[in-house]
Amino acid sequence: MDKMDQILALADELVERAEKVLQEAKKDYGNTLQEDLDALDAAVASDDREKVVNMAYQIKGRAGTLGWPLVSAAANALAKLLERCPDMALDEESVAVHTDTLALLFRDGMDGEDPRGQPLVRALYKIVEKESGGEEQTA
Amino acid sequence: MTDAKAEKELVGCSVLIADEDTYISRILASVLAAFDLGSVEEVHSFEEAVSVLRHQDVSCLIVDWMDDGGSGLELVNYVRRDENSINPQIPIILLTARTELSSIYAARDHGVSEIIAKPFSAAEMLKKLLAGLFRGRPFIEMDAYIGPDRRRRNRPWNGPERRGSYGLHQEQIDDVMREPRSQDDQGDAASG
Repeated sequence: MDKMDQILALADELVERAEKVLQEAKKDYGNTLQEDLDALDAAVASDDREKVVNMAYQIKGRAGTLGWPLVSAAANALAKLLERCPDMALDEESVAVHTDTLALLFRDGMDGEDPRGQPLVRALYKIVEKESGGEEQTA
Repeated sequence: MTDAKAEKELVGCSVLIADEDTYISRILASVLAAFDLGSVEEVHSFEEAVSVLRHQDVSCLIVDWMDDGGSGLELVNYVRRDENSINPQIPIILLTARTELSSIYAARDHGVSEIIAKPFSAAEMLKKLLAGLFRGRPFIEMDAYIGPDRRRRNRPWNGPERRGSYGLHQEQIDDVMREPRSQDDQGDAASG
């Protein structure tokens, strides 16, 4: 048994402690998520494509880690849409559907794996596939 | 080893987090603190990270991809290749939300030791941290590649056509990290 195995024997306790930290962080994340979504909308409004993609990835990471996996997946879909469709203008309907869905998921409190939000997120990935000309795939 | 001794191994470790995202960096630091590490320090730019790495003994570097240009990879490049880098063989864990295959290849080929996909869990963070700290691989130093040896595989290879087109999951990333490189890795491996 090497050092890693020895410490992994303690992993349950260590992970439990760390998960408590994440649980506390989740409680405070709502306000920050609202700020992130506002910043995303502002980046879209100012036609700052690079910032929109960076914000989408930031929301993907933060939201997924802090209890909002559907918001995370929706943000990922937006990033992929813009990366796969480099000529798509930020004021096009497909972009608005993504930002509107993100706002809806948050406004209606669809954290966790809320079944109300799952078809909404699947619809976003269908849009990405349609716009990018790819085959439809499950997100 | 008793539990107390095992924990002592972590107490002796210092981790540097380099992440532009101060919000998630602060949370990550708190998560790592729960592992009873010796010290956890945060920096938020390439320059700050280089300054700390030049003046402090760091056991492990956790770096985010950072901005669209991937300045986190510039930091990896500095650590691995710059003549002023004082510890080119330090374990480097990349934390990234950009999990498409091309980004994972880029990170691997820059010489990162482990990759954690955002969103991350505490369990995955601990697993990768321990792998970096205590299960380091032989170090390769060649013109084409400087970093941990990839020449081992943990599970059957599924091939790129089986991978998700919206970014890889953690298990798929782990596959890529263990994928044998081509002729690049057939050279000398320095002990590390």
